[in-house]
Amino acid sequence: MGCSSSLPDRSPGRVGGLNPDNGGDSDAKNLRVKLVLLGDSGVGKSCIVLRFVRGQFDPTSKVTVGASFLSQTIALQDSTTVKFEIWDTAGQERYAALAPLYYRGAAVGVIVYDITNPDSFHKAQYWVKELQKHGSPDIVLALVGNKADLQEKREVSVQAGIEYAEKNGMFFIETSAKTADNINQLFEEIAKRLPRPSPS
Amino acid sequence: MHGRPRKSATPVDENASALKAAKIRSLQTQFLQNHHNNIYTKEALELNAKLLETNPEYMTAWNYRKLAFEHNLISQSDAEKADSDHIKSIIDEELRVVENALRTNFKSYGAWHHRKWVVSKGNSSTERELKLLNMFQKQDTRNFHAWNYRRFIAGLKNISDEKELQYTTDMINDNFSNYSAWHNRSVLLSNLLEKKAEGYFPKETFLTEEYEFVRNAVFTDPDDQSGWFYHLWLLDQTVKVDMPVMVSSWPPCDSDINLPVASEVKFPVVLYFNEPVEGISSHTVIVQIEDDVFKDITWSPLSTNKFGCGQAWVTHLSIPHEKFNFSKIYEVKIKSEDSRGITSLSGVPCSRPWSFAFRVSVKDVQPDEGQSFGRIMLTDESFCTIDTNLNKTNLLKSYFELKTSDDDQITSSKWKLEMIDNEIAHYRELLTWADCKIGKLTLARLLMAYDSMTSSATPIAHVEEVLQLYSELMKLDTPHQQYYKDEYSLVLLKQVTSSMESLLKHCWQYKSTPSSITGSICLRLNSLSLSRIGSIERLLWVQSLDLSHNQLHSIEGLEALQLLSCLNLSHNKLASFTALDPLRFLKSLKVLNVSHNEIGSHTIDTRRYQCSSPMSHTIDYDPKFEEFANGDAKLVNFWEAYTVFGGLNLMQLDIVGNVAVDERFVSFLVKLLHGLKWLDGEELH
Amino acid sequence: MAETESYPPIDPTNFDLIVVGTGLPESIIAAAASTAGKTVLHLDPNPFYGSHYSSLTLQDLVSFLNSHSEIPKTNSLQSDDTTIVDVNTRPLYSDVEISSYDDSLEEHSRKFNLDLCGPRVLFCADLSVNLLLQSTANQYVEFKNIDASYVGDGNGNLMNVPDSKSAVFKDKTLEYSEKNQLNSFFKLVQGHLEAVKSVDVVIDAEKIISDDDLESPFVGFLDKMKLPPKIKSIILYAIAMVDYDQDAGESCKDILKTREGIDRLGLYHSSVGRFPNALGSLIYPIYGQGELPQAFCRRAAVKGCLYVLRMPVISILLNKDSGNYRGVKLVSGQELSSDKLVMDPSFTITSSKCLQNISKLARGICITKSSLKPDISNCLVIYPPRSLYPDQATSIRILQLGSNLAVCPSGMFVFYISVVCDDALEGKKSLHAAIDGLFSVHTDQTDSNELKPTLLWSALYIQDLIEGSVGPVVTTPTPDGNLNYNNLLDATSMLFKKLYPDDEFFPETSNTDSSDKLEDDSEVVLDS
Repeated sequence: MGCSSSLPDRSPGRVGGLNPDNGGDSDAKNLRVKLVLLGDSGVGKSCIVLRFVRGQFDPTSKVTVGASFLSQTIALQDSTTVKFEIWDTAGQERYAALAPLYYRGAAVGVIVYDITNPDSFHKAQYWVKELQKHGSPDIVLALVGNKADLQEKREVSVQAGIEYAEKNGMFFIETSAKTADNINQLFEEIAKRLPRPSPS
Repeated sequence: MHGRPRKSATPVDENASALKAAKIRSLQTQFLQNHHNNIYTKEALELNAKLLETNPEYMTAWNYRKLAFEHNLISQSDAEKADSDHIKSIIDEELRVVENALRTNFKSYGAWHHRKWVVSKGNSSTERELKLLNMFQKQDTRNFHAWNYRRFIAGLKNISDEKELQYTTDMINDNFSNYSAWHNRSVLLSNLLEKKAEGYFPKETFLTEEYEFVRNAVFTDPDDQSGWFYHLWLLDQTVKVDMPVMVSSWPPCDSDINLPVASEVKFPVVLYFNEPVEGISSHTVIVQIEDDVFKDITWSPLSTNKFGCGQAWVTHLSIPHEKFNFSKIYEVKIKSEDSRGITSLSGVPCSRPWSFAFRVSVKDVQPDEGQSFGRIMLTDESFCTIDTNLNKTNLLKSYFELKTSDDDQITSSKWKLEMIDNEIAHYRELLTWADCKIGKLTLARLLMAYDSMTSSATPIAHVEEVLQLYSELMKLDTPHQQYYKDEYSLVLLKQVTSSMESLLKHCWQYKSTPSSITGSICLRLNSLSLSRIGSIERLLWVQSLDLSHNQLHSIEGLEALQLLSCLNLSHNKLASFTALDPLRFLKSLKVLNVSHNEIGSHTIDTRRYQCSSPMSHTIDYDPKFEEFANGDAKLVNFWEAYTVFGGLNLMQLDIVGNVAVDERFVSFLVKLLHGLKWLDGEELH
Repeated sequence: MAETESYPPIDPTNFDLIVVGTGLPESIIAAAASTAGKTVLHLDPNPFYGSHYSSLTLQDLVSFLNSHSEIPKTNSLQSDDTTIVDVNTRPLYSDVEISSYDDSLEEHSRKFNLDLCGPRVLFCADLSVNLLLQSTANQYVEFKNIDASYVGDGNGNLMNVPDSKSAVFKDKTLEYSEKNQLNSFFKLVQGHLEAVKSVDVVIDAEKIISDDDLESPFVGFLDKMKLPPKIKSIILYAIAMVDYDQDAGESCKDILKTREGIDRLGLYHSSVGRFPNALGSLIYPIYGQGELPQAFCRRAAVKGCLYVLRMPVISILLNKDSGNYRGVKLVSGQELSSDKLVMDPSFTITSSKCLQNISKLARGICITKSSLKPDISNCLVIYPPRSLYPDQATSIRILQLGSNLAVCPSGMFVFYISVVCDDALEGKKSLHAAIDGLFSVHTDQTDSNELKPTLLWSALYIQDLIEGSVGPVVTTPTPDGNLNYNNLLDATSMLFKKLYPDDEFFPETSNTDSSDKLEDDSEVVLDS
C-alpha cells in the first residue's frame, strides 16, 4: 500500500495496490508508512491503536476483529507529516500464524508486552526474531511496555525493558492505553526516527 | 473534448442537493461581501477556497484571489518580505486551491488560468507542475487544457522541444487516438524547424520518419481521424512553398494589350499570389510606364473577408491624358526588387525579387454611352464556337507559357516527389483492403499535391483518378458531401484550365454584333456541377463568364476577375446576398444574371453566423444607406443587397426566381441602379 | 510457540466451518464464510500459507514436491456412534525431476518465492481482481505489470504479441495490412460486446455477431473474417489463451466457440487500462502468487476466522448411522466439531484407487541469470500448438519474472512453464522442447556465443488435475492449467453456494464497512 520502505524498488511499471486512487505516495514532506503491531494476545496492541487513532479506550474488547488497518496522520515540528497505516494482527498471532504478507514493506514494527505479565515480555523476543526474519533491514523497531497504569501489578521492570531494547537497537517506552499516557509520544518518537526519502 | 464528457452528477436525494445549494448560496453571499469590502484575511481566503472547490468556474472568485494575492504580497511587513519562504507559502496556497478546484473539474478554464497567473509570478516549482500535469494527462490524455498548460510550463522552464517531442511520442504510443498529442507534435516540429535544430532541418530529415509514424496510426485504424489530421499537416509541410510567390497577373507577363480610349486611358493591374499576402504598396511594388516611375499608386486587396490582405491585389493605372499617343506602344514594368515587405499572413516574407512587363497600345473607339443598349442574350443559342486563329486568344497563351523554375526548386522538389510518391503507393495499398474515407481523401490530396509539383512536365496526370475518388467519397460519406463536391469542383477546374487546348474548348463567342461586351470571348463553364470556383490565376483575362446551371453556393474568388463585364450565375445555389459579396469588387460589371438561385431562402447566412452581430460583418456599414433608405423602414431589410449592388454600374440584371425578389425589392433595385436598362428581360425607361 | 514442538490446544472446540488447507480456494471460502458471520477455524498442516497455491523458497519447494508424491494408505476405525476415517495425503505430483547446474543457488534459497501453480497471472479485469476488490483483500497485495508477451517459433524467434490497438500501432514486424486486419477484428469484437450490452437494439443490431457464428468454432469465425494464419494464431493462443490445437479438427479435445473466444478477447481488452497505472492487461503480485491466499486469510482473520498452522488433521469423525460429517481429530489428539468441513484436494478419506484417468498438467520452474530480452524483466511467452515440433498438440505457456517482483535474488530470473497433457511422457516432452527452445544448458560450452539464457536450475513435475467436489466433506479444486484464476474462482464460488446457499459470496456492502478502513476522505478520486 505505497509504503516508502517496501522491499521492491519503485521502478516504473509498478501497479501497486489495486486502488484507482493511488495518489498517496510518499514524498519528502509527507511520509506514508506501514506500521505493524506485534506481541502476545491480550497485551493491549489494539487498545494502543484505538487510543491513538480514535482517542477511545474499551476495556471489554477481547480479540481484534473487524479492522484491516487504521490510519492516522501526525504533523511534526518541521512541518512534515507522517501518515501511519497501522496494521493489527487480526488475531493471527494467537497460534503464531502471522503470514509473511503481514511484514511486507513494514517501515515500523511495534512490539508490545504487558508489564504485569513476564511471559509476554519473553514472547517479545520471539516477535523481534520474526521481524528480523521477515521484515526489511532498515525497519524502525519500538519496544512498548503497556498497561503502565497498573504499577502495583508490575512484574517487568523498566530497567529490563530498557536493557532488552538497547541490546536489539530498539526504542523503548512504557505506555498506558487506558490513561493515554505516552501514547502520542510513542508515535511522535517513531516518526522522528523514520529515514527520510532524499528529495529527488 | 472529443467525447469525454464531464463526470455527470451522481443522483443525490433532493434534500442533499438543496442543502448543498443553500451552502453555496451562503458561501457566495459571504464571499461577495468580502469582495466588496476588500477583505483579504486568511479566513476570507479560506471561505473563497471552499466556494471555488464547489464551483471552480466562478470567475469573480478567481479574480478576487488575484487581488488578494497582490494585496497580501504588498502589505506584508519588511521582515516577511525578506522571508522568501513566506512568499512561497502564499504561492503554494494558491496552487493548492487551484489543484482542488481542478479535482472537482479539470476542464475549468478559470482554474487553469489562475494557475498560469500564479506560476508566472515565479517562485514556484515547475517540477511540481510537471508532476501535476503528468497526473492529469494520465487521467485524460487528450485534455487540451492540460496540453496547453504543458506548453506554457515547457516554455517557462525552457524544456527542450526535443524532450517535449519525446513526450508526445510516448503519449501517442500509449494511445494514438489523441488529437492533442498529434497537434502538439506539429507545433513542436514547427518550432524545431524554425530554429533549424539539428536533425530537424531541412525538413526532409524528419518528414520521412514522421510519415512512417503516422502511417502506422492511419493504417491500424483508418477510422481514427486524429492521426489523419497530422498527415494533413505533414503533407502541407511537404508541398508548401515556404514563402509567398506572385503566380499570375493581369495583364500577363510579356503581353500586348489594346485599350479602347474614351476620355482617359485607365486599366486595372492585378497581382495574384499563391496565398493571401499583405504589404503591397508603392514601396514594395514599383510601377513604371516607359521611364516614369509612378509614385502615388494605391494597391487594394481584393478580398471579401480579410482586411489589409488578399490573394489578389489591384490598382488602376492611367496614362496621363497629355501623354497618350495613338501610334505609341507603352511599355509598362511592374517590379518588386526588394519584396521583403510583402509577407504571408504568418509573417513569412516574399524574399525573391520579381518583375514583369507588358505593352499597352491605345485605340480610338466610340464610347457605347449614349447609344441604345440592346439586351444581351446569354442562352446557348447566342454563342458560336470560337475561331482559334483570332488574335483574341493570344492573351490566353501568356497564361500557359512555361515558366522556368530555378534550380533550387528542382532539387527540393525531387525529394518531395519521392516522398509523396511513396505515400501514394502506401495509400493505394490501404484502399485495396479498406474502403475508408480517410484513405480515399488522403490519396486524392496526395495525388493533387503530386500533380501540382509536376504540373510543368506532366500536367494533370492523376485528375481522373482524383475526380473518381471524390465521386466515391460523396456517396460514402454523405455528411461531408458538400466538402467533397467543393474539392471535386476545384479539381475539375484545374483540369479545365490545365492547358490552352482544354480551356479553349470552353471559349465561345457571341453571334450578335460585337460591342464592348459581346466583342470579347465568353468563357462558358456552365452545367459542370461546380459548387465552387478555383484556378483563378488562369482566368484573370476573362471578361465574359458563364457559370449558369452549376451548384455554386459561393463565388469567392471571382473578385479577382477585374475585367469581368458580363457574368451569368443563373440556376445555381447562391442562397443570400452576402454570397454575392465578391461582385462588389467587379467595377466593370455591366451584365449580371443571378436569376433562379436561392437568394433569401436561408434566413441566416452561414458565413455571418459565426459573427456575433451584423455589425461585426466585414462589410463596413455604409452610412449612405440611411440617406438612401430615407427612413423607409421596409428598405432597411435590403441593406445587404445595397452593399453588393450599390457600387455597381449594371445595365442589365436578371434576378427573377429568387425567394428574396418581390415587387418591393424590384422597385428598390430600380431606385438603386440608375444606369439599369434591362431588368429581368423588361426594358426600363 | 514455534519453538515448542507440542501442539497447542484449540479453544473454542466447536465451529460452523473447519477449513483444512490454506490454498486459494480454501482461503476464499474461509474469508467468505467469516464475512457471512460464520465461526471458522482455518487449519493447515504446513508451517506456511498457501498449500498448492503457495510461493516457496527453493528448498521448501523441492521438499514439498517430494513429500506430496508418495503413495498413502487408508484406515478406518469404528466406535459407539462415530466412524473415524483416517485422512490421507493424496499425491498430487509425480515424475518430479530436479536439475541443478549451479550449487550457489542453494545459498540464496530463502530469497526465492517460487510458485507451485505457475505460470499464472491476473488479468486486470478478471474475476480474481474483482474478487480482491470486492472483498477488500486488495489492500494487502501490490502488483506489477507483465511488460510484454511474445509468440515463439521453433527457430528461437520471439515475436511481440500485438494485443491492443496501441500495441498494433507500435509493432515493428507486422505488415500494414496485418495491422489493419488485426485492429479491425479488435474493433469488430469490441463493437459486438458493446452492442450486446447496449439498450439501443435497433441501432446496434448490425454490429452484433450472429448467433450462428457465436455457436460455431472460433477458429472458423476467424477464417470467415479472412484473417491470415499468423494473425489467427496470435488471437487464438496468445490472446484467447487456448490450450488445444484448434486446427486439428475432429481430434481437437476442446474446440473454443466464438462466443467464448470473443469473451476472452473482451476480458483481455477490458483489462488494458482498467487501472491507470497498469500499462498492459496482465499483472502479477509482488512476492509471488502465494500472497493471494495470504491476503484472503488475513481478510478472514479480520472477520474473526481463527488460524492455526502446523496442525495436521489425522481423521474425520462421521456419524455412524447417517454417515454425516461431525468433526475432525487433530494430530494433537484434540477432537473438534463443526457443521461443515472443507479440505484441500491433497487430503482424501477415500482410497486413492478410485481416482483413475485424471487429467494432468506438466509444470516446470527454471532459473537463469539473464532475461530472454535484454530490456524486459517480466514477460509471457506462448508456443502455439505445432510451433516447436510437429505433433505438439497443445499450447505451451512460459512466464518470465525478474527480481523486481521479489520472487528471486536480484540479477536472476524465474521461468514458469505449463502445458496440459494426457500423460507424463507427453508433458515432459513439451516442457523439454520449450526449455531447449529458450535456454542453453550450462554444461554445453560449445555454442557459448548463443544469446539464450543459461539454465541454472530446473524443477519439472506432473500435477494431477482434480476438480472440486461436494460429499460428506467439500473438496476444493487443484490449481488448473489456465493462465488466470477465472475457472478456479467460478468453481470456488459454486462450492461456497453449495455450502451456504442462503449467504451471499462477499456481499458488495463488505467493502464499505466503516470500521474497515479509516482513510481520510479528503482525497477525491478523479475521473478515470
